Amino acid sequence: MIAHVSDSPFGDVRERLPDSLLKKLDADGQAIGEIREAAASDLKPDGRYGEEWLLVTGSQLLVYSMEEPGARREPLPDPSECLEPDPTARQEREPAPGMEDDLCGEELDLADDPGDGWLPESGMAMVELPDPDEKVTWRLRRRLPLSTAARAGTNTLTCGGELTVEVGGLPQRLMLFSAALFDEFVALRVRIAALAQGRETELEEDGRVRGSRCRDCGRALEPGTEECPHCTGRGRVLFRLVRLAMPYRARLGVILGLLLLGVGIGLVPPFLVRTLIDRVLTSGERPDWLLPLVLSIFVLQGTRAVINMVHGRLAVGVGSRLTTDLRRRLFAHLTGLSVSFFDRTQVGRLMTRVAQDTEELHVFIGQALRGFLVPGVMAVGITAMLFWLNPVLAVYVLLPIPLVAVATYFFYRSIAPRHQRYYKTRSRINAFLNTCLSGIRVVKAFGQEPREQTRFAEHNEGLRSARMAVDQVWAVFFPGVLLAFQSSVLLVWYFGGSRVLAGEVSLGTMMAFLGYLGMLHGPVSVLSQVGQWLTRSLTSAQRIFEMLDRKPEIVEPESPKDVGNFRGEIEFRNVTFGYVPNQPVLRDVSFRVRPGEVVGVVGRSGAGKTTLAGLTARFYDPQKGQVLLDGRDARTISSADLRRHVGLVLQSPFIFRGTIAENIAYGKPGANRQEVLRAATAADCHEFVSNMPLGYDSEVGERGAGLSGGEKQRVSIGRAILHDPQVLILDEATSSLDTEAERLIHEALARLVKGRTTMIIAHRLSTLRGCDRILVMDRGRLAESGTHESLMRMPGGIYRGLVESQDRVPLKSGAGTVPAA
Amino acid sequence: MSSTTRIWQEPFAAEGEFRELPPQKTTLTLSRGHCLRLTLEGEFSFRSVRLMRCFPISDPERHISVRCALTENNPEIGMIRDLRKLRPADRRLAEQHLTGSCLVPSISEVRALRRDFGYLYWKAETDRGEREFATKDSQDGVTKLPDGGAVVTDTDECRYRIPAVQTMSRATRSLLARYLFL
Repeated sequence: MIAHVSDSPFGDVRERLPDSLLKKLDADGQAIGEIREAAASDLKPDGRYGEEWLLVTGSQLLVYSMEEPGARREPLPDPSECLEPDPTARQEREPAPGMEDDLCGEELDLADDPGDGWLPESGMAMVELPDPDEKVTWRLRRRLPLSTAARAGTNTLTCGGELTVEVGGLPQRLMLFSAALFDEFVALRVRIAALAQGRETELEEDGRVRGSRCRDCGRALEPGTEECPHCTGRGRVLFRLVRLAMPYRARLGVILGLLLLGVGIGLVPPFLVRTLIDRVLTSGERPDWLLPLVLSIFVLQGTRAVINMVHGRLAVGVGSRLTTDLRRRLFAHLTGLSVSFFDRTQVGRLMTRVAQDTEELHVFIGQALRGFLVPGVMAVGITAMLFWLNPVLAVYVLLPIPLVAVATYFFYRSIAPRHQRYYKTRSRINAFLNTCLSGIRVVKAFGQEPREQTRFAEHNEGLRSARMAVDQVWAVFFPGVLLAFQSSVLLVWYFGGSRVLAGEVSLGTMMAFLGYLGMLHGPVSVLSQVGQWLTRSLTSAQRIFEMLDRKPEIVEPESPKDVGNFRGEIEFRNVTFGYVPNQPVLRDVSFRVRPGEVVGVVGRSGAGKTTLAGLTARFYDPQKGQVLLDGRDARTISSADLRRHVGLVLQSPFIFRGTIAENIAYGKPGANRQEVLRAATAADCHEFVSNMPLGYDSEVGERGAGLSGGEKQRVSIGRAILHDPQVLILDEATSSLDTEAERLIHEALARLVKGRTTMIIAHRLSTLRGCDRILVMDRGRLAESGTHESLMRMPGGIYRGLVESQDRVPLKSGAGTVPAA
Repeated sequence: MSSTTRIWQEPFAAEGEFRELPPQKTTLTLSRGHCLRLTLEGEFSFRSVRLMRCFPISDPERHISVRCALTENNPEIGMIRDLRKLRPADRRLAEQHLTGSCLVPSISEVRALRRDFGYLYWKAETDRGEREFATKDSQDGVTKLPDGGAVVTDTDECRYRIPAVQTMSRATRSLLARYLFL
């Protein structure tokens, strides 16, 4: 947690610091008002969990460490064990980087400074004794001048990080923190460095902070969301689900009415049976009622069956429509989200949302009616009938029911995780089969068939065991529940029978009791599972709503400006951007590309080249500065307009499942065949496509299975040609191809870029020789800009160094090098 | 200064070079400000180094990468093949340093584990103290290990080692079997 004093969204520092620490600060004479920054870590310097606070005043950095009485303390290193550097070690006259003599830096006055509890001069360890009356004590672990934070840094460690400051020219760890606090400490570093340098800086407020937590309950949130499923409450999710069903309320009303009618009808037959036995069969009082009663029972049961058929069909219809609508909405919403969302989210998870979670809601509708409402009404109705027939007997009969309900509840609680385990084991075996069989060439090339068979056997055994765990529980449950209900029946026989013999209860009443008891079994079992399916359904619903609630980060302008006659000028004006704020990938980049100019972008990996492409295509918005197209800020242009005028050819061309013609025409669905042929010819793919047995009607598989890398790339170039954008971005379009394929594609690209503003990002610098200008990126900044010739004339230039290293091919180590052929 | 024959011409391992540091010639000290200093007898002395486990989960005692902390990009100096082969004082310093840089605690006891809205909420006792964390209720965040243990990843991407389940208490085994199918 970070507390900013001056513009704190978290309130006063006093409110953030623990009371015990405030007391300690008071005792140490530290004025709270001087604290400008306060941050807590969850790790002690030895890596153990524990609370530490960094307090930043106008002149100092203070680290306070929480100590609990009796807590085990890691022993401080014994100075006598620290050997002096080996005097025999060779000292280079020109030491390698990192080995220079101590810089003067800033000397610390350690006389009053406990440091880490260690005074190096005396070698004595200092330990502060806890106050026995305090449950928690604080120890000032470190005190350093604020100036040491001028070059503060954060380093990523395994599952965490360290905040460092520079002392005497050496980076020193100040605090450790777990991965949960990484983003906060990155922001803190920016902040304290600015304070140490005497300047203000704005921290980026970002909802994309990794590991964000609900501010109310502290529970984990899905990245990019602010809705906490726990605090949202099941009631709210349920309410939203009900609202989803509102368009179908008329049909649902009919279904409900039919269900209740069916329940009512279902309660009548046992009553008629009572009459049949008492008034017809045993007493013979009304023998003429035999046929009417039997027919009545038949008609009632027949009517009930018809009602069940009708409402069953209606319910399925409503469930399917609702699910279909929801899937459509979800997919439309997902495709409207920004690229940055897809950078962070696994495709598999999204597929689960769209395909499986929506299906779960289909079940919910049916369950809500048939699994909750109807059984509930039926259980109440049956109980009422039993009490109406004979209250005393009803009490005896209903005694085992709560036990059955509880047993059923615990059964489903126990079987749910077994089912989960079974489904997950099945998923794992499917994933294994997919991987192994897809990569069968690699398996065979390395002769690993026996190993994969062994691994499959393990998965297979796991699946068997998981299945057994489910089936065994079912095998025990049903006989157990049956026994419980049979005991109820026996109670009816015994207590009812004795009352029949005593003349208190008629035989017909007792038989009616048995009839109603038989009808009670189903509703009780179903109601016992309510918690399970409700949780499952609400979890799926919550996951769906969480997707629907996400807002795209790229916002459409409210009043988009008309692009008009787009010339294709691109300008980056002081652009700073990072995929994670406060970790910029591009820093203050400015350049202009004239309409029709072909510009190459080069640099080492991680220099920010692809990021330039993403910003130009408005996959992301810069945190600072502007990206201008024809002088207009890209944020004021509608996405539709922008996409029409900016085209992209990526390093890994994506070929959709469909025909080659469909793939070429993807950016212009209404294109006629002539246009497709012209584009394919210009892209040099007409030759190989027309030689295929089905020509342009050839189906290509997922990811272009059936096409070589070069062929896929040429199809994607054809797609770009047909799209006909004024601005074209080629992001390492030939880097994964062989020389011959690259030559063909260069020819196609030459036709493609004619007259268009083009940005070519390439590692292979030979592809950029024909560019009008080259931009050289280095660590997020535009380091050099110019023509190939002018950049080659720069002594020590980055571009020149890149060209020279690419043009020379080493024979073998130490044997010198020769120019590349 | 004794004359010793140098093995390496350059202080840092070159591209493609696999360099193992001889344990008996490797000395670690704590310099002023608690920087870890590495001296290779007869070779080089580095004022501040960082140690990184190459296999922090499966083989934490072996294959430790030693990098220069002062040079840009922290180039590798070499590898310590086995911490146990270092002299006791050097080993202690290395382990202290690694404990503070490889932040993967080992769970000794699971005090509570419950499922709520697609997440699992843990309360566990670890070798670094008690910890509460949340993981997704899916197998994606669980990596099973050959020794019968596992590594779980929480929603903050912190990782927690679960030792072989047979070594844990009955209550913990029951919770792990129920929710993680271990």
